[in-house]
Amino acid sequence: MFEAAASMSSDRLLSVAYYTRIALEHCFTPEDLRKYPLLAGTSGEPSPEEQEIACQWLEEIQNQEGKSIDRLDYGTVARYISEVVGLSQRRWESERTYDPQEGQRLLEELRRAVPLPWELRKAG
Amino acid sequence: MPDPLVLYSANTLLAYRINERYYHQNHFAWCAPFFSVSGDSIDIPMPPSSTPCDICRKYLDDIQRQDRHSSSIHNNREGLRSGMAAKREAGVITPEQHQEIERIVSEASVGDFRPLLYIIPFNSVRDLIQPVPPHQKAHPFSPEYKIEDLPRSRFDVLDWQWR
Repeated sequence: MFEAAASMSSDRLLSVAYYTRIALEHCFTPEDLRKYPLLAGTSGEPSPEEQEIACQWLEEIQNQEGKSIDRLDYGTVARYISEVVGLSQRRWESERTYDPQEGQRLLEELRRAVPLPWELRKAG
Repeated sequence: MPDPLVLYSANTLLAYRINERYYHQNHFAWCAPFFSVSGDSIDIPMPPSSTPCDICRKYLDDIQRQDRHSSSIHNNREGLRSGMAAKREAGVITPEQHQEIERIVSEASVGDFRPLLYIIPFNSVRDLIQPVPPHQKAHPFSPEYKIEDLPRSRFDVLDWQWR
């Protein structure tokens, strides 16, 4: 499934995977997504082509499961969300070219720059 | 249905920090007018992933188990990456900052995904919210809102601990 992922750039794969995930979380069928683009109007709106690929991935899921997305149980939806997001994650990791220590340094900087606000209240 | 008094949004400490430092203290938030919905006690169906309480619990469970393969954390990383791409395209961050954030997100540990709960007075964000129309939802009576640029000054943050 999702063979189209192999020939996409990592940026496009990220966009399609994220959009597909949002659609799955809302139990959208491909028809729903074509009719009501979920992220329309946002600054991060996927291109029309990316939106169509996401619709095709939803169709692949429906074909695989033999039922409409909105009839799938939540466990099945969660499994596909994990699969789609994993595609993007693995691509990012395989194309990573920087030194992980540099990432750690930046992360430490961010933690120091934005500590937990002292006014945060404990809840629960 | 009348307007809610407050909106709730579950987020992570990492997202909070990135938004504070790189996005000029503007935060992205999916919101719900309920913190928690019990299917038995309230007759309003909501998908589990849309309930801030469920989201916070899931993050906390995964952090306690130090689950490096947590789907919630996985999804949050992807959401942050999608957000940073949009911010770069919108000119909010430079390509260099985009790279920095990517490295931060890649290297973040499980503990960086500690859940934070945003409490957002509805009246203070009335002009910013984008309601998701009923026909777009899995459940027609499941209210959801999206705020793309939520200023830090318009919400309170709770450090969510489940005991």
